[in-house]
Amino acid sequence: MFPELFDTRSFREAIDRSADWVVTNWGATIEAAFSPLLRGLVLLEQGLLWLPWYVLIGAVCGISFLITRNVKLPLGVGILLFLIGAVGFWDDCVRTIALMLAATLVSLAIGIPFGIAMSLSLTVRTIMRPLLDIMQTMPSFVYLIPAVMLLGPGKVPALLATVIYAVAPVMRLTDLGIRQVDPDVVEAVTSFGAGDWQKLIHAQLPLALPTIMAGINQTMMMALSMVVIASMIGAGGLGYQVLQGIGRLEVSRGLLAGLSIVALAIVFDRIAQAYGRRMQTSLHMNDE
Amino acid sequence: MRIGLALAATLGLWLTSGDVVHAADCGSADEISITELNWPSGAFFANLHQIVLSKGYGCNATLTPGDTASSTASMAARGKPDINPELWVDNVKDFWAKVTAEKKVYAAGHPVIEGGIEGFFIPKYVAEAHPDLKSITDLAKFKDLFPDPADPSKGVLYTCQPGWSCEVLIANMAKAFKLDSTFNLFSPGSSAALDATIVKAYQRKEPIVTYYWAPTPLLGKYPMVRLEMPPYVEGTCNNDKNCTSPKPSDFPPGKIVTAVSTAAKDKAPGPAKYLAAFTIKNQVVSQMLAWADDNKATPADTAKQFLKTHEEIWTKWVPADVAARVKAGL
Repeated sequence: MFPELFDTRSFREAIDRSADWVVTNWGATIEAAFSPLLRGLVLLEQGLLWLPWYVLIGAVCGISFLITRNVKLPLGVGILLFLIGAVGFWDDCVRTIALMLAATLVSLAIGIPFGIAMSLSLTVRTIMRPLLDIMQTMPSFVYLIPAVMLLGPGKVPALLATVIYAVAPVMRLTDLGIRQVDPDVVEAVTSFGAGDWQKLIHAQLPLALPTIMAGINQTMMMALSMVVIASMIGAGGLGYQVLQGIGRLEVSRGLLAGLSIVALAIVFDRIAQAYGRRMQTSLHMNDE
Repeated sequence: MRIGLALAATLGLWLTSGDVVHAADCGSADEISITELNWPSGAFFANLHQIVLSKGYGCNATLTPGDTASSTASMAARGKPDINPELWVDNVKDFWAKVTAEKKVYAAGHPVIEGGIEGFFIPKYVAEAHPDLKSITDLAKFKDLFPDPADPSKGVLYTCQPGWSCEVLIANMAKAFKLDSTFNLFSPGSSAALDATIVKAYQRKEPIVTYYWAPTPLLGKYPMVRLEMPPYVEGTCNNDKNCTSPKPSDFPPGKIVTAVSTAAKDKAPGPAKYLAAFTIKNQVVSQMLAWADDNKATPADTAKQFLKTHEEIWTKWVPADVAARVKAGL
């Protein structure tokens, strides 16, 4: 038996009471503060759902063609998305895409500035690193249920949970990418009289872009891997189909929904990778 | 005469005690696994069984964590775990029909006397503030009391977990009671999220209307009022996903069984009798769960507390010497 060093029960009760206090006194205010975000998410989802399926598939294929100038990627992407629709999960797939895109955008908006700050300041890096470790390893349900108590179930806590989990790679890789830029290049730019800002925008960030793109790609993948957990707090989408399959012991439904999530992951991974490669080649063309 | 009487008494004692020893034995040294379900009442029942079987009958009774889906799938495939202490049969209809037909699993008894209670609930403070809101048919008039944050033009009715049979049932009820034009159905995705939603409303004294069920600690702890519903109608297609003409009807009486593998019954007849006799009132279960919640007690502690404070209930389920051994083991 481990010795009882202090009264853990009253310690836990104190934590519970303070959480209750926050929910009771601040819950309504916090929920109201997040309601524009909810409206934005609903709008994005409804907008994407309003588009006919062929327009959406066409748009994704078009984007991938513009990136690769090749028919192979658009063809593969189009077939995968078509298959998701064919097994009957189109609306859920669109809902999942909407949440994933929103989560990725928010993650980038937070992750890239913080990643830059981490690369420039050792203090920021020392503080952020353990924080990122916590965010990636803490089981999501630990903070999800308090989040539902604060914000109600649905898209907002789902988005927050996804961002908490998915923001780490883009932040870490932005930091890494900038620090890996050849010091000679930075020195040369400085000796030409560039200020800190110019140095960052014109030398460090462009040179770090391939690494940052890898981070963005991973962030997207991690956002997708959260869809089942997000559905457990009312986000809907493909994760909901997985949960239904589990609840009804319908192996087929769970499997097809799971494979649809994989298909979405492949689609977005390949597009992001192709975009990264394209940026890299255009970077080298500028060098010449 | 005296000698004859004494002889008869001794003989009688010997006969009955022999009988009792037989019924009080586990009957098998094999492991008997019990699903410790991941919700409060299921975990409470599982721990009760574990204590009674191991302390009272001397069985090698173990607990395996699980939920309805995983434990029923495993029961059907491998015959293990041996005991599911709280199976809501309607939630796994096809599975139940199949395994009972194959005689792999049987319904040993009914853990909750009244069966499960399902319905639409509003907090007591809402019922007091709005005395006109009594039944499901009144709900449409009150849509503005329960606005949906994602679509404020409609009300929101929180429904049940994905995959549970109540999901289809409620969707059809919404049509039957003509709530689909005034209310959005919203599934919080898991029972943890549904609980958190209700607790959130309670702490801020916000109105909420939600599907819920008993026995549950939540209903033992937060006073909620069940919206009245028309009587249950047999033979509607309300539980069918493709139902075209749903009828206004109450929830069917929730059938909860103690599901036990037939193999375990054959091996351990004594414990099988106990499982058949095991049954508790809904209210007592909810009270025990509310006690557990207030005292932050584990399911095992809750089971012990029940055995200590409700002897009048459980001693009827087992022979006297088993009861004595359980008491000694506490």
